[in-house]
Amino acid sequence: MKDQFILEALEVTFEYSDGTKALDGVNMLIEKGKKTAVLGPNGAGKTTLFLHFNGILKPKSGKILYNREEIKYNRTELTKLRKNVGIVFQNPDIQLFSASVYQEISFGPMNLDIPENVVKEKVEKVMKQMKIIDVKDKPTHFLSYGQKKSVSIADIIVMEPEVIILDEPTVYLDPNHVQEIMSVFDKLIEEGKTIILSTHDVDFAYSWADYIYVMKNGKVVAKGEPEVIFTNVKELDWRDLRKPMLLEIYEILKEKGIIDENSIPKNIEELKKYIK
Amino acid sequence: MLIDNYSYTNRMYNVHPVEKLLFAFLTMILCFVFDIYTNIAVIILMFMITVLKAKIPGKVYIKLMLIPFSFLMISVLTIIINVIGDKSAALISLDIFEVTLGITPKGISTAVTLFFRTLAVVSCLYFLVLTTPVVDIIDILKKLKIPSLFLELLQLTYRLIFVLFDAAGEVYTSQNSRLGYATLENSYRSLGLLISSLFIKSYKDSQDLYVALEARCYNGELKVISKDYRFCYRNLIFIVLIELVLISTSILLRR
Repeated sequence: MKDQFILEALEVTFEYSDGTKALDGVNMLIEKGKKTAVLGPNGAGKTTLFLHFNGILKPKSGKILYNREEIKYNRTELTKLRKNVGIVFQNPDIQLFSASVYQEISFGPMNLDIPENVVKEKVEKVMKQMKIIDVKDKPTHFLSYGQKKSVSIADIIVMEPEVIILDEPTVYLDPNHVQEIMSVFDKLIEEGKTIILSTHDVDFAYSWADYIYVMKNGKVVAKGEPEVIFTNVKELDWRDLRKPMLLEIYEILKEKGIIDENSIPKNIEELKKYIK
Repeated sequence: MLIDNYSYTNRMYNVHPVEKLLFAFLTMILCFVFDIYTNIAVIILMFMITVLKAKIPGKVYIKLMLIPFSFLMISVLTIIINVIGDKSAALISLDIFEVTLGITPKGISTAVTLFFRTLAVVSCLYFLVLTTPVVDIIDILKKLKIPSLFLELLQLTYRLIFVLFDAAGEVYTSQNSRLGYATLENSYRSLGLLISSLFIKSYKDSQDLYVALEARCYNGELKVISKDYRFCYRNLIFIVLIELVLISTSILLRR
């Protein structure tokens, strides 16, 4: 259903206290239960926008809607919002405040006034899900970068939010870890959660996302389904974004008459099927 | 950092922290109440438990014990050598201008007592810090109703030491790879830059950390659940027995 938007940013403008305009009339609609990727160069305003979605930053003008209702910036409403919209920050070393993995993960649910024994169950469950059960007794400073990242994602999943926002989750991770994290995301999508992530990896965004937004200089410059955005959109400035490799190969193969399939392949398996 | 590593990897990591704290502090009190023989016994006891039971390498333990040694030697010397008025009580005396410096038997016995008492108390503390992670110690302090503001500061400081330490290491390596420490002059300049950049970085990080906490519904209190430990009655009985043996032999030897 098209009208099922869980998060909406309408004409959002934001300025930092030093006067730099971080967001300039951003419109972004996030569909419930879908995978949305936000692409764009550094400094495009992706992180700033994410901080608006969970009420950390308040727009200078424009509004943010959660479940079709405008966000209210008082303590109880914000707590409710932040329970439902979780952000995984880019640098796990900043997000992890506790020296103990177990304590770290228990922080979020403890703030939601959930009884301790329930929190314990949730923490155990999420540690299994993120495959970090074997490091639960280790201090956070003993962990590898990938493990820290998994803990920082567990931090958020344990609060069982409806929307999970991830700020460049795949950066610095080895392919193995990326794969693992992706399978966790797939499961969350199956459970009906909504995922938004920012990335610089167009190949990844192309095959993963249901919908893509491209931001630049605090504005949304393009949006659309991955197949559409990379093939049809004219206003896209290709200096900021390159075409996914898969799409380039598909276009070359089609031009040379090697394949005559008209539907655009979403991943390498689909492309393989076209080449007989 | 060395002590911190061992506190998580030693074989007594899973023992209830309260048991370890109780053992360390009870023994420490005995060190103050009784005299030199008890203190020597405690030094040996703590060495055996830390090295044989908690499996901290003996070399490491002795190295750690040598750290307070140098301070201790200096203070012991100043206690042994005193300004004295009466030369007849002194074993050796020396006149320097108007002052008489000397060593008295009383001074020696005070110094020896102090020497062993300090080592004994230090070994109790080493036992505690080598077997119990800071996280657990903070937990106990929480149960002892120490103000949470203080404990939260402790918790954040402890975590951020490692973040800052890593950052410092990275900056150092990158400076070093650009000959930042090639000459003495360069070294001073690089060190200055390193410290100032760390200061700015930690300020920025602290703000980011606050945002990250806020995003998880932080409301001014760091509420977390700690690891579950169970009391082991065998350990408790063991602690009581050891303390009783120490007390009774000390009283007997005193006569």
